[in-house]
Amino acid sequence: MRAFLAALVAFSVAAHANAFEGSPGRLLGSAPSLEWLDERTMRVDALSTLRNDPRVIVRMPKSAETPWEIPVTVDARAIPDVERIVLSLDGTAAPRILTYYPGAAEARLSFRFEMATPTPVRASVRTQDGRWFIGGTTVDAGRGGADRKNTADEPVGTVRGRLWPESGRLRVIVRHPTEDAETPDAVGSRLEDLSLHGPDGRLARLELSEPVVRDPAFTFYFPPRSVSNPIRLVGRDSRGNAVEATIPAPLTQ
Amino acid sequence: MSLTRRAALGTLAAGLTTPALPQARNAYKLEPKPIGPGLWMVEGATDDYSQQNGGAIVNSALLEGEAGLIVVDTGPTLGYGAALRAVAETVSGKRIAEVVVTHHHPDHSLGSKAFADLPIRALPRTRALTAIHGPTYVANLERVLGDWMEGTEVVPPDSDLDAGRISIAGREFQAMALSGHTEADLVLLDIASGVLIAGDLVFLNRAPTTPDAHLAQWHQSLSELQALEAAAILPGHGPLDWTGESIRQTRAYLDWLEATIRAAAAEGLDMVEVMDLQLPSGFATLGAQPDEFHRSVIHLFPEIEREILPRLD
Repeated sequence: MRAFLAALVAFSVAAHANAFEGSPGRLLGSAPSLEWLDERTMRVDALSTLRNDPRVIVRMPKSAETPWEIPVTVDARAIPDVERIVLSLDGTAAPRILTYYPGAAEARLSFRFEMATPTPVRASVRTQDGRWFIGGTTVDAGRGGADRKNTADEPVGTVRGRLWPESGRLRVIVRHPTEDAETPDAVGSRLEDLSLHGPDGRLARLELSEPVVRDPAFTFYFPPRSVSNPIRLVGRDSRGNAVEATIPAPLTQ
Repeated sequence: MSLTRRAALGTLAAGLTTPALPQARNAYKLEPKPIGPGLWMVEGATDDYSQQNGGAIVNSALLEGEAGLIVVDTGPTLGYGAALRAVAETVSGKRIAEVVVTHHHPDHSLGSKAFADLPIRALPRTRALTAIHGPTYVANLERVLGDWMEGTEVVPPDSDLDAGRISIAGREFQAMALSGHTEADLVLLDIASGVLIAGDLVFLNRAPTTPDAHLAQWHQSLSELQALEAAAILPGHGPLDWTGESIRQTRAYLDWLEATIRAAAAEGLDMVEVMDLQLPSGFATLGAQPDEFHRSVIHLFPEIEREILPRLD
């Protein structure tokens, strides 16, 4: 049974990878069964090599003050040859928050996500040679009561962002509503896939799951002075709507 | 009297006579301190909510009017409200006639159930906000305070208090309907003493809280309060202020907070990285730091960042 699963998994991973090669920004959600097997892959082929490692750092505030946009920074730079980082929530039916393929970027990412009930947050880091390293943190309930600020004045898909070439930071926010009907024609949809492209190809890629809902915001970290404008951002939401933006050359630098 | 705590709360819930202090291990020791003619403050800790302080982190005020005693802000729990009520009726011998809530935040309003048989007055918007957010506050504070929250339920203020020259229980006030800390921040200038009961528009030696802050409006409100040149200021949190330092400190902190978050957003920092920034020594020593700064980053950063990052089309 184990061998069968492994074979199935190997096949599905290959198929999965093919779906992305040469077609940056393709929808992961178009193949939900592969998505599920991808999560299985993490568990099944990790059994012999999975270990907790203090080099996987997950940092969050002490309390989940605004549960719909909890900030987190994951940093696995101390581990060489990181292929991907999977952020997940313990004890939930849909554990994955996102999968980050850093590519040309550092193995470090900051973003916000939604967490209705405080639960441990885990980062599973896979290296190029197939080993997994785990780290995580916990967060308390907040004091509560703060209101969500309304950002509905900007159209869905609006991208704000900037590259700081000297430090290699790239920050983007994508305007996307939650399910609370503030923008009826986008209700129930969410951003599923986001990638960054330079003149020579794809730089980094994100696959996003349910907890990354409202106005997703990311800081990518490239090595200082390693990337330059323009950088193209390509994404797609679960309804197939494209998100595209070009981070332009700075006016003065 | 050897009432059990539950029996005491039962009496209270029934709205009968003067409620007894809860006799359990979670007893509040509230000591009204005279700060003016017919005016007392009950001073809270300058820390965050904790199992140690039971959420008694807020300043309540007691004032004696011709028609009876006035209680301003009912505290964070039913137990606090009951303790406040019991101690209030000892300060002058008068019964409580009216209760006022400065704004809807839980540390100021969740003790109201202990006063449910009395008129509880607040700005109209505060009444609405209490009803909207109260249940969430109760749920969250139950996690933080545990048993201290026993019996605590949302009791929104039941009558409006309007701005202007008003009389409450026969005592004269200049009431101001301001905003900035929340959408509706009531401030009372006590005419007899010249003391300004400032609510949470003003903090002293405790980091201001910002879950519902509108910084520009908050600054405007501080300017109006400064112009009053009150004899003394009773901040929402922290000691009584005879010099105006509380307004200056609150303004300086909010200025620094906004400037710091703007600068961080302009450098591409994410929220967790902003929280790592070193606080200036004058603000690091305020009560509830650095946790309150971390909370403020969460409250304020996303909106400020949206203003700063260029839109890409």
